[in-house]
Amino acid sequence: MWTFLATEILLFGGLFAAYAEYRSLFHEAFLLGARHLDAIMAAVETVVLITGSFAVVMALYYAKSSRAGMARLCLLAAAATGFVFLALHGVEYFHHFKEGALPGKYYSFAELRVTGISLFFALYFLMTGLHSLHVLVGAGVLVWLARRALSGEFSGQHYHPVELGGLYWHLVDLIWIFLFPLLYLV
Amino acid sequence: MSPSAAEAIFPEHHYLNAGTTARSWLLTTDHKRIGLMYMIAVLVSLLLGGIFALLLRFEHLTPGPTYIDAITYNRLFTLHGVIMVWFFLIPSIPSIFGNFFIPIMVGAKDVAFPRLNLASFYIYMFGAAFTLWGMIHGGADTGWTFYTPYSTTTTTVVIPILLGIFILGFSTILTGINFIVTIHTMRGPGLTWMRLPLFVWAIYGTSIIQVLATPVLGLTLLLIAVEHAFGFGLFDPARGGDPILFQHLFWFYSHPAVYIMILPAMGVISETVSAAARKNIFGYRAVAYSSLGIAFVGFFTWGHHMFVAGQSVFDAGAFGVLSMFVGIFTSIKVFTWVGTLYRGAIRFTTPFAYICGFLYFLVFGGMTGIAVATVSLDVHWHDTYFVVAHFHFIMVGAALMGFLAALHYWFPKMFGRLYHEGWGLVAATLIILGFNATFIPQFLLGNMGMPRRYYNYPERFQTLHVASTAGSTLLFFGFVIIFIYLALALKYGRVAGRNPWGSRGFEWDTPSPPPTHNFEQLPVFTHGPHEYQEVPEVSRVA
Amino acid sequence: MVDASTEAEHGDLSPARYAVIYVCLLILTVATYSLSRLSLGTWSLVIALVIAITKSSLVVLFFMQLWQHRGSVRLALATALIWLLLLTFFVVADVRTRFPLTNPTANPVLDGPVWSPGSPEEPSPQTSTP
Repeated sequence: MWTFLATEILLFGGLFAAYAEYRSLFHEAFLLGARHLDAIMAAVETVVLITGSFAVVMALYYAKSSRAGMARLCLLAAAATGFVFLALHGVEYFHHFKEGALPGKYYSFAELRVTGISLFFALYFLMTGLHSLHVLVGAGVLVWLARRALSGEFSGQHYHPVELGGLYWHLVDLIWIFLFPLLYLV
Repeated sequence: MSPSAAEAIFPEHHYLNAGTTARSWLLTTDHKRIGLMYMIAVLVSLLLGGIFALLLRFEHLTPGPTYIDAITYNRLFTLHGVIMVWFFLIPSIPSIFGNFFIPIMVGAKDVAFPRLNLASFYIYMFGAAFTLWGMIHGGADTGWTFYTPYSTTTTTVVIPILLGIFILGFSTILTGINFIVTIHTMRGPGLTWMRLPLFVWAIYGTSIIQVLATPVLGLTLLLIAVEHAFGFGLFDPARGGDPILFQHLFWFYSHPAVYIMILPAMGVISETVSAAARKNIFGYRAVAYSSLGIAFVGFFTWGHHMFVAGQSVFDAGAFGVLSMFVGIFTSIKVFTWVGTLYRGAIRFTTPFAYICGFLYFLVFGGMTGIAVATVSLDVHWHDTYFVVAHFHFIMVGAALMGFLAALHYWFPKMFGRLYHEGWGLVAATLIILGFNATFIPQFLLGNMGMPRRYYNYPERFQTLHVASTAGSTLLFFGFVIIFIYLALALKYGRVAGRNPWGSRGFEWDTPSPPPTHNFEQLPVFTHGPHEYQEVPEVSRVA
Repeated sequence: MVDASTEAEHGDLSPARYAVIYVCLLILTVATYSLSRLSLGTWSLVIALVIAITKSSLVVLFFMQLWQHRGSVRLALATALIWLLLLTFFVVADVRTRFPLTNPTANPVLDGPVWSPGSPEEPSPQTSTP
């Protein structure tokens, strides 16, 4: 599984490299763009995802001690945090759509006009969009695991699916831990 | 190595006849059957890519239009590149021979994730379907490298082809993960890392590259598609985008990708060289570690494809120097192989012919690689036929020789029959001669200034172009002959027996063809796979 | 799955310990947000990255139980990260060491003026509230 996680790190890595280049070129646009984004909302989203990670850790603990009911609850809670995250993010996106802060040639936000700003939003939408896609997949995996947990499948000897699903979820959290400051805070 | 005529029995039950329904093949989890299915798919890709190559070469018989127009020419070289790189070379040795032999070589019954293995195959076919669809609708004309901003603005069907390759990337990644886990965790009793066959080391290194590099390709192709469809401006200078960023991202994958293509071939040569010379491999650790060395160092060099693209002088200089390091590991291997052959008891068989071809092509292709890695020289040679000849020397000359060596060396093991050696040598000669005739003129052309991917050319280049095309026809005939005698051998070949080459490789301890679960009983490993004689301490050269 | 931890039983933390890590992560989140509201110039990026690295180390080591795992798993992660840095380094080095006029400059007509500090049309920093 860790090998697979390595591939995901490199997948996002390309976008981080692009971010680094364009931030270097259009420093002001990135500063102003970041200030325009809703950092408080993003902080809440961060808390939500970290809570999801905690829930997944507890789910693994319960799975190993064969407590199917609690494991299932934790898995569903974690999946729920994923959906909450997506909802909050959706609100953010909607807001950007309304004001016209869109990537590339669709950029029409009159109040923020700085060279390179459309590129900032292009990166913003690409990075958070790709991340959100992974959140969706991760939440789906957690729901599926919750169903399996209900049937009492997991125990101290057989808990690996929960561990693997958990690792994937933690990765999704990790990527956001970096996206949050890079896009919203600095 | 000589095919032994003693006790050649054809086992009654083996993986080929264990279940004969279509379902037992299409839903198999047997790594050997999956390897064969890949073989068919990969050989079809080779045929398709090869036909496109011939079409290109025939167009170049005369300057100006010969029988196709310029746009068709552009589409043909794009498709030739896409198919050969992604559908033939990258999967060729790992997905066929890696799948077939890695479990046997480590003493396991199958790979770590057999169903994932089958999924990898179907993902490959799915990706191939998309690309085929794109081809039927005219194909892209961007070149296999999809440089922006042309690829993001062209009206040709770029997106299905991008999608096809993107999907194929998943197949590569899953295969890589499968091999890494298998090699790490499923080695039989007594099989330490330092007793692994060198082929396994090579595939291990290849899998590392596959796992680390392919995601970046996936992202890059996705970005082109998004840019093409939505105009986000990521690579569009008018919006602040940087086309060179695309090249950085693309080559970060594609340079290691060429090592995905050559490393397995090197692994095959390591296997066949000690079997051919019936001698201990000259420096086992050197070869094993250099496989990893190439896998890692290959990632540091991508900017040498961009010397004249507009990247900074600092980057260009750094990449030029870093590119030299790969040569070190390759030469370690070449010296080791030659050291193995020296004073060996060599029988000149078809695999050995391919070994010879491989060594020659690797050394010359590799040296021209070091040459083009020199920034000042590359300024003259970049985007000329010199570069084309360089990479074809390595990819076709060396990697394809490795593939053919693997095919011939392991044919008796996979099918239990021997092919006709005489015809094998004829075909090998044709291929080696044909290859030289095709690509040496291209070095000269490139040096004289003939640009690559150009439809027209000045009259004075025509002689060399005609020579190159003649060579390619010879190459083609060589392949036709191989196909014929191998197909005939499947049914009419002499029974091979367990170990016709007298090799000490682990895969030769099991019957030919192997039973479905690879062994009659799981092996315990007590010797190395390349050990042909005891090495007494006294005879070590100081 | 065979590359997972084999001595999980012994190395697992108790729920209480995991809760402590969770709280630490929350504190660090608050910290990184608050620090970003101060204007520290280039240091803000450094501090934010340091905090992000700390947070991710906590997640990787404890939530993902890396501290219990074998070396080969740590190697896989380390390699991925180093490769990422490799790519980023050369890309940024390229842009920073090029002859400046060859860098893309975007289009002030399409995007907006090139902003410089003290310029009269500087938009005021705002966080949008729905």
